[in-house]
Amino acid sequence: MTFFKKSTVLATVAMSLSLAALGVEAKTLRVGVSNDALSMDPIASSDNPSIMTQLLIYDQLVHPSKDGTKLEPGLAESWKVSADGKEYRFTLRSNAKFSNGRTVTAADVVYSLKRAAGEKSQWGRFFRPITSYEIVDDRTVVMKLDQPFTPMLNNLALFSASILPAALMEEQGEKFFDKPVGAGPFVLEQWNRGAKQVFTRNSNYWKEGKPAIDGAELQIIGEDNSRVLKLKAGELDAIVGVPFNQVASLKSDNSLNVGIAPVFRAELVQLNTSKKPFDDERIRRALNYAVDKDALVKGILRGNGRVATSSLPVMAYHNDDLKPYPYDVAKAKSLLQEAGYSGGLKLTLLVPSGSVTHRQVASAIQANLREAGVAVELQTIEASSMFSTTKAGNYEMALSYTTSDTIDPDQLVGFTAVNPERANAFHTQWKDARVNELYELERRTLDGPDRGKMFQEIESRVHDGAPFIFLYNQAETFASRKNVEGFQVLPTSNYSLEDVTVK
Amino acid sequence: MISPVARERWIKFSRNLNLQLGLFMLGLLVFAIFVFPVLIAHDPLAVDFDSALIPPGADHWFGTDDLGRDVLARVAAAGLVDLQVVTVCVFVPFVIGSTIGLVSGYIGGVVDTLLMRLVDILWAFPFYVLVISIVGALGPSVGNMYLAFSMVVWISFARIVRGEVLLAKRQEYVQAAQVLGFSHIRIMARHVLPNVITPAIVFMMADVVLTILGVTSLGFLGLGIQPPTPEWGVMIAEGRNFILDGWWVSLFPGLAIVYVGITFTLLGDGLDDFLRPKG
Amino acid sequence: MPIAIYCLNRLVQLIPVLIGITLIAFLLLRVMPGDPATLILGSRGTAADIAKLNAQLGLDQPLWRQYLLFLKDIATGSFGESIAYKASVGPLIWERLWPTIWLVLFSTVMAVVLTVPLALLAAVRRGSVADAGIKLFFIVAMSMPSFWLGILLVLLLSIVVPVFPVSGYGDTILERLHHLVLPSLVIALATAALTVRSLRSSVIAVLSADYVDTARSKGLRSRQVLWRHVLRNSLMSTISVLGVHTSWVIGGTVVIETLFGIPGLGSLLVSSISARDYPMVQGLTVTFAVLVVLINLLTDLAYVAVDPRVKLS
Repeated sequence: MTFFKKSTVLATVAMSLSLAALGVEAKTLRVGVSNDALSMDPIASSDNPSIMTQLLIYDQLVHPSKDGTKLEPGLAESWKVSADGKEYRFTLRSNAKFSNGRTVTAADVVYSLKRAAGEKSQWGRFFRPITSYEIVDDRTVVMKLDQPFTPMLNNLALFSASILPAALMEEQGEKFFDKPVGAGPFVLEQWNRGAKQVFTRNSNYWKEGKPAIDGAELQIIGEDNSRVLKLKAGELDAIVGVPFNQVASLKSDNSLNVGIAPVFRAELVQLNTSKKPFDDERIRRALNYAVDKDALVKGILRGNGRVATSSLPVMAYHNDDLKPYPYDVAKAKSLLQEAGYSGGLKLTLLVPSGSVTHRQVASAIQANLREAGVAVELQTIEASSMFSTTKAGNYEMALSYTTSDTIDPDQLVGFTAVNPERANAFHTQWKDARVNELYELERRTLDGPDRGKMFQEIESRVHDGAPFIFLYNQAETFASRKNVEGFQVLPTSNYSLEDVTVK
Repeated sequence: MISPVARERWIKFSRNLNLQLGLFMLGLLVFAIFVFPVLIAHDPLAVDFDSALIPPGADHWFGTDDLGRDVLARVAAAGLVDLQVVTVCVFVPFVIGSTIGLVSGYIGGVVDTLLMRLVDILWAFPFYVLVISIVGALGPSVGNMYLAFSMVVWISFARIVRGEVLLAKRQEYVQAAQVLGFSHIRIMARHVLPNVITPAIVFMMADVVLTILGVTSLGFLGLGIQPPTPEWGVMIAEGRNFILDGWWVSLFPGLAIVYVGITFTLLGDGLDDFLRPKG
Repeated sequence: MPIAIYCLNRLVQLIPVLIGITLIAFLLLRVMPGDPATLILGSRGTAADIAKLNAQLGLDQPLWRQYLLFLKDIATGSFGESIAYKASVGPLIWERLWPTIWLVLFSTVMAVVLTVPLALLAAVRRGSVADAGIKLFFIVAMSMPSFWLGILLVLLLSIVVPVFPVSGYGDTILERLHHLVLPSLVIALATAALTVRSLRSSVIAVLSADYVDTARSKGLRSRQVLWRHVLRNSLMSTISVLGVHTSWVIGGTVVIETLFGIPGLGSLLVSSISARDYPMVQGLTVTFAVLVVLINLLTDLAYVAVDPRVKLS
């Protein structure tokens, strides 16, 4: 028996040594993330984990630049937009190939975008403005619009505009997504749901010499703390989402690099306006006054963010004149009284499990609202089922956030403010006719100050209508071990792994 | 004048170190839970970011957590919550289970066979699996926790008491009572129960240990008592995120659970020696 | 009674238990608030949609027919459709079964390794400092919440002295063993706290038994007596004690798998409950109970195989 014990210890020691040796040779990047993807189908995904994985395995015609200010060529090496904004002509790269070695052709582009605009797509409205396609030759495709649609190019940079191999998809149907084939830098080799995703390098990727690593592994570790500990212990090479209160202590660790990326993100409490008492604007405004957002930014984010003024992140055309709701308990109480709730109010708040920051914020909101006479019951819920729960309308308040997948504010306006739209004002069911009108208008107005004014008006209407408690715009934190170079989180909150090197 | 029975009991008690130590620890626990919250000026719920994660010191004996709440105040407040929950979660199944075991064993026959089949089946479900599933299906709340524990734990008491009843039924005093024509209810309550309840009481102490672990585990998993109500399991789950920079946040609630566990293990052993006739 | 008939008899006895298990798991889903169709479609699903899905799921049928449908789902191995994964429950459970089985096996072995020597020592040196020390150690171990002990061990053996991984589950068998050391140790300590006690008393009983005296009087040295007679008997009783606590060990995996991020049945149960994935919870409850029943059966059979003297009744 004692022999057995000793031998296990020896075996484990020997094993950890050999594993360490292996890790160096294989040059696989192990990244710890908080949630697993739900689907590999670009037109059926809205959750960030699915989006981020899809961006690793699929490629699009164009990409946002790393600083989030402009668009860069992707599978299309060049494009031309006609002066009236009704014709888009794309020329594909000659070396653009899917991971199975087949060349990406104009037919694949048309197939994929038609699918994205189709009946089954959650993203149809993003692509339906394209009314006809013309395949000029294998490498040239022309898209025609009935009227100008300003977000068009940015929409083509979305994950939902990923180019899929038409023939293979036709042949395999839904089974395609069990073993998806894309033109992105990596190939999904193995997917153990809830545990990990294993990727190998796509040797057919069009970018010369990229990716620099042989493979990557996304390990799903829901607990923020376990992720940090595993990084510290060298069981992971990089992690996304470092709790803000651990940033300082990780920075002092010589074996680690810690990064704070400004991302297009807004932290919100969704208020279900189809339910009482949230149908009353005074209640929603009262809740905004009752939460001390400065304290959240200072105490929980440790200054890595700013108080939000609306549901839109700080990005292009942001309304800088808007001031956040100040922390004013007396004002909140008087609004509550005005609305007939002077006797106090009892509400429930959904909180995603696993995230330290969300748990802290929830406790702080709870303490804040208690002072204003609102009793809040917290309900912890699996982060991955948060979206479907609020979508189904089974909630009163939900602590959530939104990130932009493009560099144009159109996406999040459509997502968080417009109703009816894909998410009906991010499941709050809030409705504002003027916002809907401006949304239609903005999409037909060429980029410039006029379009900017429209966004600014939308933002201020959302601010006043208060379908959310606007919390803050936070930075995204990440950390990697010193031997990893080039790991970074982009403004669109995804991480590009193609430039990463492991020493 | 002390009666010989009382005298004998006193001697038995004075030799029973487990029981003495257990009672002493229990007294200390009750004192701490009821007196500390009065003595310490800190509010267990007050959020104050300026005093987050202060190490144990003169002002905060057990330090503060990530939201600046006093850990000692929270451990004490959580003690009250946890012990209340545990008391209900142990006592209700004790009463239900003992009654079922008593009646089932005494009546025997088809009722007994069916009940024991049910017990066998429920026995196959692991304790945590059943409790977590029930609480999960009904939604996490204190009331549902009472229900879940009651639905699961009664089987242990029923098994123990039934076994004892089967033995007792063969004893002369029960048979004598039956011959005398006493009602069944009277025989069960007056003659059988006092003779079969001791093992159940002893097991109740062990059950307190299991239940405190169960209740705090549910809290740890986020399926038990919900924040901001302080609860030891929840506190450990929260403190786990600062295990390197703020070990005190999860250390003290953990120690509190261990303390309760040791107290009731000692009480269980002590009561076993004290109540059960030896030899 | 010959062994074959005994085994057959035991298997036949299982049938009502298994039926009871499915019935309880089925009723468990019935008590949940709200109905699955609304849950899947959301409150904005139209009445027609909900009725259609209800029909599809068989929820418009009378209760007894629903139960038969559930039995049919079990028989075909699909266990119904998971709400969260939008796939059959059966294969997902199957995938998660093995980590849990490894964890249970490994922690059982560890519990035996801890139990036998310590219980023997405590029994042979009854009343000594060692005996008291062992008793105290296990009283503390028994009282420790497993998640707390797990956190402490990770801190000590993964961070301060990095010997074992913080969490997760490897790909190869060796990697898996390496990952399972800490989680198994936590379960084993809690289990050993129960088994050491009973083994100690049973060894004390054996030591005072007649045949040990006889053996001694035959001139066997005490060490030989200990090995030949006492150890054999105590191993037997350890097996039976462990059998009694199977359900405890398996239940312990729920918390431990969640803490250590092991992709087993326990962590799936916890995440399915948070995700309100009731068909999955139902399937897992049945699986856990069947696991306990099967392990108990195996323990009994092992007991019979090791010691033919056991009465086959």
